[in-house]
Amino acid sequence: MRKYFKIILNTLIVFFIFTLKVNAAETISINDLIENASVYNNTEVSIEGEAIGEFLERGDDGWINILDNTNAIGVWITAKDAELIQTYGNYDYKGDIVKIKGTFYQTCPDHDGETDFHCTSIEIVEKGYSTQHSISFARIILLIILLIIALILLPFFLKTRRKA
Amino acid sequence: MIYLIVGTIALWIAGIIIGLDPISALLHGFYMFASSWSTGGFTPNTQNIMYYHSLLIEIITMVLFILGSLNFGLHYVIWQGKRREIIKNIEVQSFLVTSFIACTLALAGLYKIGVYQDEIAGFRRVIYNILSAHTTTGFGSIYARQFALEWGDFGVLIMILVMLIGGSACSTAGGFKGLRVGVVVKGLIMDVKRLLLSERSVKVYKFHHIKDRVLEDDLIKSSALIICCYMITFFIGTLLGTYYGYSLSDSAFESASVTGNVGLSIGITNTSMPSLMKVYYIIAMYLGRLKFLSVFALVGYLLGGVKKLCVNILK
Repeated sequence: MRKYFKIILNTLIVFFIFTLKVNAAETISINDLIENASVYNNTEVSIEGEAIGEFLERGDDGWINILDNTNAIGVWITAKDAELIQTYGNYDYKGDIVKIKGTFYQTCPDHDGETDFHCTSIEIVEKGYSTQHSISFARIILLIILLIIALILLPFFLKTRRKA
Repeated sequence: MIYLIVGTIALWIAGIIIGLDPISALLHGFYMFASSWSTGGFTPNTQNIMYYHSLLIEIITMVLFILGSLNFGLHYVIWQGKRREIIKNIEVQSFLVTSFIACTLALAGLYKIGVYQDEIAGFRRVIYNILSAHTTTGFGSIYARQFALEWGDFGVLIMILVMLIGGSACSTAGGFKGLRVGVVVKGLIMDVKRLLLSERSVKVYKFHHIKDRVLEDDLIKSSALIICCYMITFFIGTLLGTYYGYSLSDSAFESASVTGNVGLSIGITNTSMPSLMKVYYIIAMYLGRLKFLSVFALVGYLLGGVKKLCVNILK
């Protein structure tokens, strides 16, 4: 019984260790891809980040741009796959967080040597949403103070300029 | 205004063609025109020019930043109908020669190490970046770190040289300017010719910049002086970078970009860089932008004022 228990335990440990290892290696930051471009060139990896800007359609395919915490990269994607993205990030919106599996190219042969990513599958990790921007009270106070100083100095400036 | 309208419309149409929403394309067009023409190099998105993934946008911005880097006096005389000025002008000649040599050498160097294999890739990734650096615009069609990681020392050295030379005088570009390079080179040729001529013969040497001008020793000296000031500022920046542990090529690249007001970064300039380097880079950018002598004159004027004040107080 003890022997069977050991076998099951070891199998589970090995299974989880390898599972965790694959998951960690799966999603790579964009800066890591650029810093180790020759290592990842032409290999299938996953990236995760916010879809920003808008879909740049080129026939049946097109470009989306993905921004993670480190950098941004262009992803070549089919128009059909791109339709899954509902919100693109800009000043007013936080874009959908997507996980993209595909091939990384250091100098893409199809796109004039661009460093890009060709999507094979896309998954929406988190839906985008609209954002609110509020101006901090301290900044408003600072603005008023600077405005008052500028108004006080203006007659002196005009007087000096007239003299000159 | 003509350049603004034509440039913005061209970029607007190009934006719509590449898939931008018409309103977005107009705003991007306006922004990109201002950034190209002023050789500023800022773009609305993190990826710089790579956001658009478009050869058309790259060509239009390239034309705009080259035009923006030319002398505004030259623009004026061409609009006045003197079209031959563009061939005869020493700054245009200087820019054509240096950019041609730089592009050829960079293409050959990068082809040799197998970075870019076809002509269009060479145009979009090499020529675009070389001209962007030469005009001190700072648009990049590759990631900044790729210069360090993929271009090799030869490619980086070419970038450093063109960033230091910069665009034309009386334009929006930085660097020590094509006019000064042209004057110093012509001065060198003049001195060699003088050595070869008999002592009794007197010859007046000229160069063409808007009109024919006599190449005088004072002009050559002042041009060489500015170039020396640039090189000293560049050298101190490089020295500081290497002192803090950055590689020689990275330090030199960043220092050239800062001194020439280019805006390209190989990765040194960030929030975590040493404070002394931040302060030095600010000073170098300021000196490089205002061409040293005006800053020295201002400092001299301020020191003179302080001296006068101290003397008055002591009296």
